[in-house]
Amino acid sequence: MAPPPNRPLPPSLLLALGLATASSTLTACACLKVGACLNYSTPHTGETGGDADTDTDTDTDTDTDTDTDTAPCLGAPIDTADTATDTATDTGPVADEDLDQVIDRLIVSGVLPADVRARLQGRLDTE
Amino acid sequence: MSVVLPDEDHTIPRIDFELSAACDHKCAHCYNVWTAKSGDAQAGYDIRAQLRTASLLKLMTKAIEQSGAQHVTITGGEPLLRQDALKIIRHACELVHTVTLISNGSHIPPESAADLADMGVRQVQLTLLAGNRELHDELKGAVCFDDTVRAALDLRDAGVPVQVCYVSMKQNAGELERVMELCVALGVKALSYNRMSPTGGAIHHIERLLPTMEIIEADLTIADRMGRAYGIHVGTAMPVMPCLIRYERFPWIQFGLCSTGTEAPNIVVDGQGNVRSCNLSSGIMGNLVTQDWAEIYSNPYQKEFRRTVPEMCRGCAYETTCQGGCKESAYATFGSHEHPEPLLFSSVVNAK
Repeated sequence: MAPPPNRPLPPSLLLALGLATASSTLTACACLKVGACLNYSTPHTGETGGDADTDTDTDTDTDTDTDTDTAPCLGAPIDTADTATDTATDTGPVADEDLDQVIDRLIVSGVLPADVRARLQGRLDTE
Repeated sequence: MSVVLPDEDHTIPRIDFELSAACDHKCAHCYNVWTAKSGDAQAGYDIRAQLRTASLLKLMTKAIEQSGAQHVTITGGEPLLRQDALKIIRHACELVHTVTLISNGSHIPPESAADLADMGVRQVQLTLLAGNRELHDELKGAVCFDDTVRAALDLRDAGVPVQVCYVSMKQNAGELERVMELCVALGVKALSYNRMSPTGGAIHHIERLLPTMEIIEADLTIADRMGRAYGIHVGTAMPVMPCLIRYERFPWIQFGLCSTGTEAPNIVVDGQGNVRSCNLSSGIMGNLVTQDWAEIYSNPYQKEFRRTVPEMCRGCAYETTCQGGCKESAYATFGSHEHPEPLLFSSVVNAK
């Protein structure tokens, strides 16, 4: 038997399997109407990038439309100013509670079985 | 046994094995195709003759060598109900780079957690449906919350990373935040967020369980915030279609779309050697006991599946990538891959 080829798993698969941390997320099309439009009978016209650039649309309009308020979308309009610099590699906002506070509250709440609470408490005490 | 070297035509990066169709949980939302009822589109999936240990090990070796897969996911049913499960998982670990185990969490005592660590299992996926045992156990149809959180802690202590699977349904709406807090406490660093998969017997509970887009959007908002705050990787396996939500609002979340027919399909082999395009599909492409991988992989199912999208999706920029969401759930529920799948149907077609 031939051994399996020694190839690394593609990053996209590692991400899908949760075996890697995202360094980038699925990039939505620059045209915010595309794919979020209920007018399905009308092909999109403003795509300038993103992961779905596989159609045969010959439209050359490269307008990076940001007029999201008028898009007939199900998703709520987004504030592009807020998300423009948002990436998955952000360290993110400071958590409302730190890890120990969350664990402490769960221990007190009684949600967890007693032996698990004891193990978590023991861990908190030794940290 | 004939030797077929993997080539670009039929090499895949991952493969799933359904070790057992049995499960001791009774989830109404169970998507497994063999739980379909008489008269359902997916009815009649035969699970009676499961391969014995030696035959299954041989089959696994053949599948991996011929497909070139470098990742194996062990699933079920509940795979650990097989008495030889650990032996089979160890075999998989010897054959590929990474192995993930999906378990219902009721059969991982500390010694098994240590065994899984010793084998080099890369990740174990456990399901948490609620932040309290009463609702979790009700939705699972089993007394299992305590065992699941114990298993998560035992695995963590043994050095095996845990991924929590959260299935979004109407009945556990609003529970994700509590579940993610549990993840924080249990040291879980990965969450698979899945809206209910309407296949198998689950199609009979769609009205009661299928989440609305409002529930999903609220969940994703929480997942994005808490995932980022506590360093929990969040991905979706069941597609949330880009016409229903704006991915850019949730930059922390890795959105997954249907992989059937792509370069990294989620092909599954059941306990009889039957090969299907994914675990939600009842369409058998071939059988590895009697056929080689190349022959099975050349079955036109995947290509035909890929060509089929709902009429309403034609012309959408995401037509080729999104494919209309989960078409196997469309088939299971409505009997056609071309019908808008249940979430799309309830959110758009039926809502108009």
